[in-house]
Amino acid sequence: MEQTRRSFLKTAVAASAATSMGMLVPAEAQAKAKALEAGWKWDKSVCRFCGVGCGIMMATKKGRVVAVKGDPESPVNRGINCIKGYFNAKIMYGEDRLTRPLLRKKDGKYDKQGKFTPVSWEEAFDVMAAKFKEAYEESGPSSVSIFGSGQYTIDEGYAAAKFMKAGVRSNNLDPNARHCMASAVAGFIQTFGIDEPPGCYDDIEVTDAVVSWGANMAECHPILWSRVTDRKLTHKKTKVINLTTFGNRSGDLADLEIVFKPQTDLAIMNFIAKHMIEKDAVNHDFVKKHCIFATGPTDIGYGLPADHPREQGQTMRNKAGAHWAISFEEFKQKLEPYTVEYVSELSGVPKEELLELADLYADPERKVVSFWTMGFNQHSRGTWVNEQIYMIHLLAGKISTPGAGAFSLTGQPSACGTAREVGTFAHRLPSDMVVFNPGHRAKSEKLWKLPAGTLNPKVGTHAVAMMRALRAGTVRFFWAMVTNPFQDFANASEWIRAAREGDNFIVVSDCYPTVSAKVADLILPTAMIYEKWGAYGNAERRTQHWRQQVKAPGEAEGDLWQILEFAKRFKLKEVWGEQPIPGLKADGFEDGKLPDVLAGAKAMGYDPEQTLYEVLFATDEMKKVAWPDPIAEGHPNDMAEHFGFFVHKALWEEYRQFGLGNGHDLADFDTYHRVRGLRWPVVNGRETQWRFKEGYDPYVKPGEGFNFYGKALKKIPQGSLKGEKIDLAGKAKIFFRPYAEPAESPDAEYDLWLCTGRVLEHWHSGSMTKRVEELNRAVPYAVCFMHAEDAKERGVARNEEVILESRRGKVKVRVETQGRNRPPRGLVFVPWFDENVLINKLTLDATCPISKETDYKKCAARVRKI
Amino acid sequence: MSDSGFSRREFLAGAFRGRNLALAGTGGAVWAQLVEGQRGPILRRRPPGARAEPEFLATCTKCGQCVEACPYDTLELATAGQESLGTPSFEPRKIPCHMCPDVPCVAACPSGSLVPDTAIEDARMGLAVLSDQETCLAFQGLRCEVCYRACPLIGQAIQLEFRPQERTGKHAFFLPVVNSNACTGCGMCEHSCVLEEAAIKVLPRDLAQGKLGSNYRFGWEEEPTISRDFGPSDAVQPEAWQDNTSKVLDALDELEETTTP
Amino acid sequence: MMISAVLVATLPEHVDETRAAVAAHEWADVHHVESEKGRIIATIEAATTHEATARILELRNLPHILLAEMVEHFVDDEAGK
Repeated sequence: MEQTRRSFLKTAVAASAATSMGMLVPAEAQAKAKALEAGWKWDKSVCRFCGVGCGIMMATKKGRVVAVKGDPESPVNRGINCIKGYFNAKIMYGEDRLTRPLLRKKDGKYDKQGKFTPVSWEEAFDVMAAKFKEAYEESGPSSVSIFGSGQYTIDEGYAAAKFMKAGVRSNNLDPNARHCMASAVAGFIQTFGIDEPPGCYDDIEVTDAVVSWGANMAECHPILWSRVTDRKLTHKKTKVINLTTFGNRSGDLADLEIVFKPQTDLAIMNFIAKHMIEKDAVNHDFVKKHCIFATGPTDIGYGLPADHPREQGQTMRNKAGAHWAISFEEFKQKLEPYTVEYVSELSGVPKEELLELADLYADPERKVVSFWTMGFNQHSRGTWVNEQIYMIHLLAGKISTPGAGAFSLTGQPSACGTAREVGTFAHRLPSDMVVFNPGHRAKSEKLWKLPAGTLNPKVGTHAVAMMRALRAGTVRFFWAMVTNPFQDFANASEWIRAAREGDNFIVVSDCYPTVSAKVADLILPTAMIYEKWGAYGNAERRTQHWRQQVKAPGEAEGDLWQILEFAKRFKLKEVWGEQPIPGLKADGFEDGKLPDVLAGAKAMGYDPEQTLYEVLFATDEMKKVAWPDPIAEGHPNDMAEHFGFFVHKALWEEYRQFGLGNGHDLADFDTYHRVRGLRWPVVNGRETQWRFKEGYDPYVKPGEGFNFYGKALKKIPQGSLKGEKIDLAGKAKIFFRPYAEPAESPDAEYDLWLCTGRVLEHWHSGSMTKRVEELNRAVPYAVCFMHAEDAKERGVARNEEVILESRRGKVKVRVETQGRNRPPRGLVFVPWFDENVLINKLTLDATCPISKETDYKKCAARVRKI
Repeated sequence: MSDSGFSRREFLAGAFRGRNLALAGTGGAVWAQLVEGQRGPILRRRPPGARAEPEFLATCTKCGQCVEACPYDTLELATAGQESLGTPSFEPRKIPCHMCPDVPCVAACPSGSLVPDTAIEDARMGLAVLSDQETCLAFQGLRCEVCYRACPLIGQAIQLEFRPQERTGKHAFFLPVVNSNACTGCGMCEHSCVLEEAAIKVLPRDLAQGKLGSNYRFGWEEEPTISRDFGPSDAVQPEAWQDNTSKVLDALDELEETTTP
Repeated sequence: MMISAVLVATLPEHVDETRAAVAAHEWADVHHVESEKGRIIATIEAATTHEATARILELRNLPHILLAEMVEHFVDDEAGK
């Protein structure tokens, strides 16, 4: 015993000595770092996260992304990144990365109540195609759906649109961008007749004022905010105003932070317009030459189901977007009620602050840029507020001019490039075309080489309608790609229940086990951004391509691969025969039916036994686009190896035909691999910074000054909806839109406003950023920001866990009364990245009736002490 | 507790009899260290050329010859109650390193703990850190910058950054900024700081400096060259992914509660 | 009862020889050897500090030994009883 003890002591003492003597000391850190970088290969790429679209350089070694740096040649970010961008190299390596298809099975067979079981791709597609066809054969194209994303690469979105619209003839394809940008789109289309911002980021460096409306740019567009900050610091005249419903980081820089009551932005903007007219700050020459006044119906509802109490008496809820031209006098008259007294009372904003804001816009000597994001877009009058900001800028003539403009920021990296430009919306075709326009269908059928009558003229189910259709059982196949709908949708419990308990089949393509994956019946492991070739389009119309850097782990495959492989399982005869479309009414179509186009197809040389893959994606012309290609510079292309041709390039070259000559011109594939992105329209190799303005936009002829040449909705009735139609070619519309009550407001029972949003450290639902240890450590969970007095009143202390609940659901969440957000009395803010604080169980699925975009910023909730 | 002929007290005391430590002294020093626990000192400012701390501790024989060689009496051996007893360091606020061109301390070191032939400009005794902007006079807009001017490597180790002074609208801030690539940690800045307690301090480098994650590089520091030699061997599929199914299934199980409507 | 850990340094070519010479003392044990640097960690047992010092001196006087320094010292009162 004594001997054992003694030898133990000796060992311990000797070990301690050896350690303190440095006998196990590793080599010097510096030498290690040097060795680390040996063999790194650098290539240019794009940040995975927000709509700013920063350029990055990416290093790979032995099949792994090892490091990134900001691309100093990128005009967007000049080499810097935000903290999410800093971790691009780490997002792909979470330990629970999905690497095999997982199917719910019981007793060796698919069973909706079964357990997730690894299966082969073959078995996954067998079950998936069988379930798709089960719904399709019984109920037609309206019973199947794909829910896509503003984070699809451009070619993925394009392939999804072509598969759904041209292939299976269903318009039930909608992106998560519906929750993000739809109101901005509707605002652009209604005002200008063409989507996306007239200006660009370069406005920042030449402006005199930045007004941010419902956009916490400091956290959500960090690199742009850095540019705004620089402008503010280096150009003395620059004013920054932050309009928001709660104090946030963007207020730090601002000369004035205006915290207004939710929904009253509608009234504030009308006050600004009225003030400008009264001060005669209207640019009459510009307005006369280039604008017309318009308005629309007011009883348009809240996008809730028809039987909801809020929808009763809303007679124009199905014609919410209709509008007619009015005179300037009428416009002026409609603004009359919006006096400073009334608006101050309604909004809770002191009169002097309102006047300071209005004077900024009214000052003819001051260039102003307005930025906005989700505060405007996620709004039950989202389209209206978008139109109102153009109202202000058009009245002042401060638009489409360096340093003066109204700029809709995007949330997602390719909300513009993919969701909008490709048209992965239920009503859209590529390049701003729409399914209900016969000319647009004809053009698309021609470019896609489809027999006439293939495309479905009936608008499909938009995002929220898709979930409601899932609940109603009219959509029975639902495929989510590059998005996490069961965490993202307002009123989430309702849709989780519909998915789990309904007679339907839910497929989720994702890279990590998300809430949606858990809700799915089949999970498809999906390759991430740098594991495939692709392109994104950012908020300033900049298209940026990248090459594949590494291979996907395990059996994970890209979304494009999945779509093309799935398309192999459909024969023309299964989809191009006559199809029922309940409710379809269109010129040249029998009511409720899509025609049999197989005869037309035969005449074009197609065989009914051919697959959709062959007809849509591997045409003779596409197969001519050869792989390997020198533009790859040695980089891999697993898709091209698999399919035998350069799929991405073939799709790109076909896609860009849609935009040539109509204001959406894109460059050829190779060009994008030689530059740091280009802003469309790209005409004769030159990008466009300011659209609609002579001297910058190649579509504006000398002498015109400005030309708002967008073609959509340019013939509208005069005086009323029944008036005679007039042609507004080349003009923009200045809309009058009134104030309207929110869909739901706090009351005695639920006494707080609930607003949701993002934090800088996490991206969207957190599926990627929560896997980066450092980011997760920085912000490990979502908290409920509330005013200290509100907390005190409820007997709740900072950091205390409480129940936050609404009429739809509840979560447990910690209270935070300090820190980055400073809500006013009566409002709480909860970020939505945290799946364990699934805040969308509480939010209300009210939408803008025009854009169908959900209002995530306003519902009634209460805090209960546990 | 006393032993025949040699008390523990004497044993310990032996450590401090001379700079050329006797064996017993070293033993005592180590014993004292054992009592205090094995920790590195927090605010050690080592002589020029000192190896990285663990290696320095492993090799320094606590002989004190560097201390004797120092013409300015800058260096001291750590005494009882201090950490890493017997090892040399200095306190810049008392006596900073004067950066002798012939670096006599290094020349005197018999063990190689101070890397032989270290040029004084390459010494990294620590790193000056402007640790308190709230009291630093330059940050208040005063024209102080004493540390900048005291710096033996003026303009290299400490540079001035100019920023407009918005309060007065007419003046500028002259802000001292330390460049870690040049700073030797001599401590002239800390020594010269005119405040009652210095706002700029020399800290051990490993304590003072952050470390960029290996996942990121600063893009503007070099040309953004695109590698033209990417080849098939660069595009292998990483291993170790095949068997993570159980982790995925666990993660899905954890979502059970969240996905209960 | 005391246990001291001693760092013994020698030239790499003499490591094996020195190791054997140290281990030859019944009050010494060799625990770690770093051959390429010529470093050895040994422990010494002694009843008193005086004895410990004497024994370290004895090691120091062995051939080829450049350095023999005590780096850890442990007093085990229980074992000494």
